Amino acid sequence: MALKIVKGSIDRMFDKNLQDLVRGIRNHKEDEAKYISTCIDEIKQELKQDNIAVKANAVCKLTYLQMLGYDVSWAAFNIVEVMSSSKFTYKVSCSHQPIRGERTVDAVLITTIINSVSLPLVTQDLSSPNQYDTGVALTGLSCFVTPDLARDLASDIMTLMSHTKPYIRKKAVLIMYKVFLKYPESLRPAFPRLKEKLEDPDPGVQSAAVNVICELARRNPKNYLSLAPLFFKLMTSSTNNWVLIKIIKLFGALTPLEPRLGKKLIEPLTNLIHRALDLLYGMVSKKNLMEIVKKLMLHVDKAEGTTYRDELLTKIIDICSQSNYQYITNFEWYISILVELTRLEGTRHGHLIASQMLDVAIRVKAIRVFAVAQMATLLDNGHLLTGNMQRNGICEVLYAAAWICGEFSEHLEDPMQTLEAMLRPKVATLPGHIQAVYVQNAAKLFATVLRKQEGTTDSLAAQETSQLLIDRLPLFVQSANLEVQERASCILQLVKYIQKLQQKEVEVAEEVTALFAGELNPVAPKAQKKVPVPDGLDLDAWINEPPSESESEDEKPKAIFTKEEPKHTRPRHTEVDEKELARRREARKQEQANNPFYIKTSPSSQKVYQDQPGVEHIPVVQIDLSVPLKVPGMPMSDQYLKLEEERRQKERSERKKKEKKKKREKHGRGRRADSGPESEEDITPAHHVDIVTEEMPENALPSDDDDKDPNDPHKALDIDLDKYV
Amino acid sequence: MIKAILIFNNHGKPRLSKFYEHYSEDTEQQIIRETFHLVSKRDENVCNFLEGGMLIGGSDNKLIYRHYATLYFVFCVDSSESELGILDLIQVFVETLDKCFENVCELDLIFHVDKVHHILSEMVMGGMVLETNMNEIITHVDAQNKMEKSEVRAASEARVLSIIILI
Repeated sequence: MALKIVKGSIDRMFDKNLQDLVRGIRNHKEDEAKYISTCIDEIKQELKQDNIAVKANAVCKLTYLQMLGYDVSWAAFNIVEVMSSSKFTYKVSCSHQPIRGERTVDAVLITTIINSVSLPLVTQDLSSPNQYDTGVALTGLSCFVTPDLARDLASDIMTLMSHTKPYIRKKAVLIMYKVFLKYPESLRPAFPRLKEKLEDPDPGVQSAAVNVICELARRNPKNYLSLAPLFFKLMTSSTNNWVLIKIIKLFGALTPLEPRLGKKLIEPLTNLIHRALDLLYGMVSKKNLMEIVKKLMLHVDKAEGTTYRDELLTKIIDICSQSNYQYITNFEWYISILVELTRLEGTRHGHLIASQMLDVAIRVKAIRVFAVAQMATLLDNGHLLTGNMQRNGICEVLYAAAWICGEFSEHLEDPMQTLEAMLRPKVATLPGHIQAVYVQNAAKLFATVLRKQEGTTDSLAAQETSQLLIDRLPLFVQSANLEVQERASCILQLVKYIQKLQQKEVEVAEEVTALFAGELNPVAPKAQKKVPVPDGLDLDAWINEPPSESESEDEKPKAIFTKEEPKHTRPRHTEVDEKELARRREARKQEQANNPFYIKTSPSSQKVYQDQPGVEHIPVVQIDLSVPLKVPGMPMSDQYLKLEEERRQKERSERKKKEKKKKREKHGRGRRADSGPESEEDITPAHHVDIVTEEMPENALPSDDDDKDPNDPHKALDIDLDKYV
Repeated sequence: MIKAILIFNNHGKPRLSKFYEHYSEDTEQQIIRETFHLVSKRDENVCNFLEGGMLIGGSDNKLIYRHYATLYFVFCVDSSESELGILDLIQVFVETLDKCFENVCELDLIFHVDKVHHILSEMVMGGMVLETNMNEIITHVDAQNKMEKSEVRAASEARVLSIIILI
């Protein structure tokens, strides 16, 4: 007896473990199949042994062989047997083994074995004090759970969802999904607890719960609409990227069912998009710039909201122009991108595009020919852009176009055509500063045209050109804008003078060109500071005599010796003030009545001001921003701004009006920074951001043509959960 | 949901295969071969995402892979997973392997496939992502390793003792 045991022990020492098996297989490359069948025989022998360690070793080797493609389902019972061991080590080796119980004739037998044997084993493990025992049991269960097992173990696993250890809770939550698939009736009772887990303090458990619910909701989204607010809160508060991704995908599935959800999602999603766009800065390189911009342009086309489009526009330009255009390899491409961007309707960044065009055209000499050609086309089609008149609108581009054509007119193919385009009557509808540029550059073009025409000894053409200017300029001379008026009148006189000279057959082209000689180069921002101070100039010396000392001396003694005087004078001052005020008012009124040039306020409006002591009972109109104001062509932001301004004008007194005027001047001189933030805070875009709908193709619809088993339970899981929440 | 996780080398030999859905062994091997075929002909500088082959579920499923030296790590997922997220998960998996094996190489995976399974089961369970934080994963793996070691030590001590008593 003892000998047998000893012999057995010695035999066991020669057992192969996993590594030996692997090594053996590698060494038997020629006769691998034969070697493996030998090994399988050995394993069968080992499985017959009583010693559980031996069996566990055998199971380990079987896992490896299964990966190589050998069928090991005959060992199902043995695997379950090893699982029953109380030693953790052996259990672990089984937890990776998916025990097949669903295909073959033996399926029923194996399933029964599994059910009858596993159930008590797993239950025992599930209640083990050692968390890793339980963990292993759950992992193994996820591989081989059957409907019967699911039914029996559902309540146990539900209990585990509230275990003290987060490790167990996490695994229990995740395995519930498999349990639901096999045994759909378990969803009803488990759901409230699952919902609780969404707010579990441990982030791992929380993300497991989100995972499970997202999987469920993909198949039956309408049952989970009621959870939307909870998920919204999670989305805004969570920093775990996995959770965020899952929730956003979930919203992608839910939004088609609940359009209001889409509107609410705009804000956080816009933040995410901003973050993503910011990343682009770092990503850009010479090679990928063009592709990235192309993708962004596609987005710009697809995007319907003007705010989003403007964002993209700004980003595109920022990326391209960063570090002094270092990433742009082909400036022709960049100019064409800018021209394409001009097609955007309702943008507020027209000046940005304009300034880019100017910048590139000035600094990149090689590109001037191309740029000028593009700009000429823009001017020709200027009428298309003149639809949008508002400040910083796309018509600003015409500013750039006109200037470029004028300054680099020598590259123009057909200066006459461009000159004619610049002087069309419709130009007078453009904003004043643009018209001014048009007029000035028309003069430059005139010089170029004259030079061309006089060279060909075609004096009639030259005179016709002058006549053209004389015909068209008077319209600008009458403009309401001072700058336009001045420039137009100057140039008109000049042209009339030139015409007289032309009639006397004098060549004037040279002199006219001389008017615009010289290049305008860009100035560095720190240039002013760097200007050297000439010798002998002391910037700190007084230019005039400093103010006399006597006044300051007078005040000081007063303050020192007469502290009490202010107190006395105060009550006296008030009395005097009132009387004085009344007297002054009378005097003023007399004077105003006698002054023929003084415009009196109409008595009716004065009454209105006098009747209303305060502004409280002016009705404030609440604008319901959840319904976007749809105004074609004109962006809403400006309309709203105008509305606000009008209201404020009516309600406030003259003093406030002056302040408002100052504010408006600032707006006028200021750049996008001022108008931008205001519009983004107060204005809802006309259409919601598209990012949510982009997710749509991936959302869930019960796949009717899917005939795999696991998907049938999803139809069974389609229950109304609101009753149980 | 993750449908399958495969690791194979540049010649297509499987080093780890974990399927979260039921397939027969033959189908599994075919899937491995098909995936290898699809992934191995990809250039180094093209996208890491491609559509799954016919066997693994066709165009609904995607293959997300990364090529490290001699090994391909391939995750087959359906549309509920984010591609970039899975790519990150592959990276976490490889880094965890590196931590646990000390400069992991293909041989480590060949001879210690059970350990690799072990680590993987701490990250993905039942086809769903369980844990993405590398420190958490390593903590649990180490704790379980300690348990195993202490059990093995106790068992071998018991065996030696029994042999001595017999003799």
